[in-house]
Amino acid sequence: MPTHQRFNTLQKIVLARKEAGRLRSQPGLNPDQQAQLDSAYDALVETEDLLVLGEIQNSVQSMKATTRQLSQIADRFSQSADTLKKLAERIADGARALGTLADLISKAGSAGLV
Amino acid sequence: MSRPHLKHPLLTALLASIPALLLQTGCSVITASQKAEVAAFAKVSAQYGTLPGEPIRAYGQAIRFDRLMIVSSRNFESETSRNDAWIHIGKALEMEAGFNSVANQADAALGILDDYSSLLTRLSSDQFTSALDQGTRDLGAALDKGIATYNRTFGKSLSPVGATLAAGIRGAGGIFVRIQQARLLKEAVLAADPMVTALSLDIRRLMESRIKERLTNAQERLGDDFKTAAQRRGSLPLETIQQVAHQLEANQAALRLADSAAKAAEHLAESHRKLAVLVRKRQSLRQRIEDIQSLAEEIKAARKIRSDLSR
Repeated sequence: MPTHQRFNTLQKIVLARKEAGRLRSQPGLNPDQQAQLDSAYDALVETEDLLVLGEIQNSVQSMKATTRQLSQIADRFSQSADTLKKLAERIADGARALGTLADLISKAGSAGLV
Repeated sequence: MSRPHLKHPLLTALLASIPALLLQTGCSVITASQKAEVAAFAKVSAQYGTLPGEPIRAYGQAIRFDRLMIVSSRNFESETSRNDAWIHIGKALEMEAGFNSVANQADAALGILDDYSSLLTRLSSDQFTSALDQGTRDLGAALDKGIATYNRTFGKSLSPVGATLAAGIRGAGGIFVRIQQARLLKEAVLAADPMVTALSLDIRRLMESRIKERLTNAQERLGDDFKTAAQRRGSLPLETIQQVAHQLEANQAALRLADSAAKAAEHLAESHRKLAVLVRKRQSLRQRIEDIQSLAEEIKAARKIRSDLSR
């Protein structure tokens, strides 16, 4: 059901439920009339609650669609951040490797190998 | 005895000129303002938590209580009415479960805000450049050790350039990483901004146009159903009246919470908008000064390695 249609229906149901509520609490009703009005009231309460649930559900669905897109962005940039971290670590590893090489050369030099 | 300390004017000049060169080419780095704004956004979004889910849950609770109040007003003399009452109790619980389920979905959907703010915090953090520190320190120490060994073995007096070289790599590497961080932060914030704005609007619409109105309706309905039950029963036990009062308080609290959730959603979008403006507009004097300051921090980190290694 489209949002505006659901909203209009809900407004009408709320009005009808209020009216049924007013009638069922009037004094002088016989048991049959009271049972019928109670039954109508129950049906209106049920419909009202279902429409409200649907209305809120629709809003949450719309939020979920937006958060899905945000989630995709977060995932994409999280991967980029991982790549950047790896790159920084590679630069650091490269520097360490250069250091190890220098160390090896110096050891080889002191052992008379170079 | 102090170690021979030869100056490396060319390398030092090159290091010192990096900021100016990068700024001339239009590169930008993570600045203190961006870090502060990211921190502000992270704080706002972390506080947001499960705010919108709670008023939905409260509505479900109000509906359950009201439906039980309706059942309590019935006459249970006939078997049919007792069976109906039993069915209505079940439906009251089912309906509440339905609202709880939607509230949980809202909480789960909004959990992304935590992930997103963690990403921004990460993109503006020092974790990328801190890895460089140790790597270049190791290089500098190993190079100087090698040169010392060489000098000792061959009777030469080569100056220890390890510290300067390590500082050069740390400085250039650090600035490169900072530029990449700034680029990623800018792209992420600008890509996410329309979604954060839309999400904020969705939440405000839900809280202001839906939940608040429905909670007000639910309160009126409870009032009507309480009066009907009281009229039919003639009197109600104190316990029932206390529960009605408790439910009224819960409704009022949920209304206030819906209001807070709507305002917080607006604050969230505002905070993100500020961040988007900050990452987009980088030509202001303040920004350029901050760029230089941030680059200077990188140079300072590089120099610290040099001075630590030269000790």
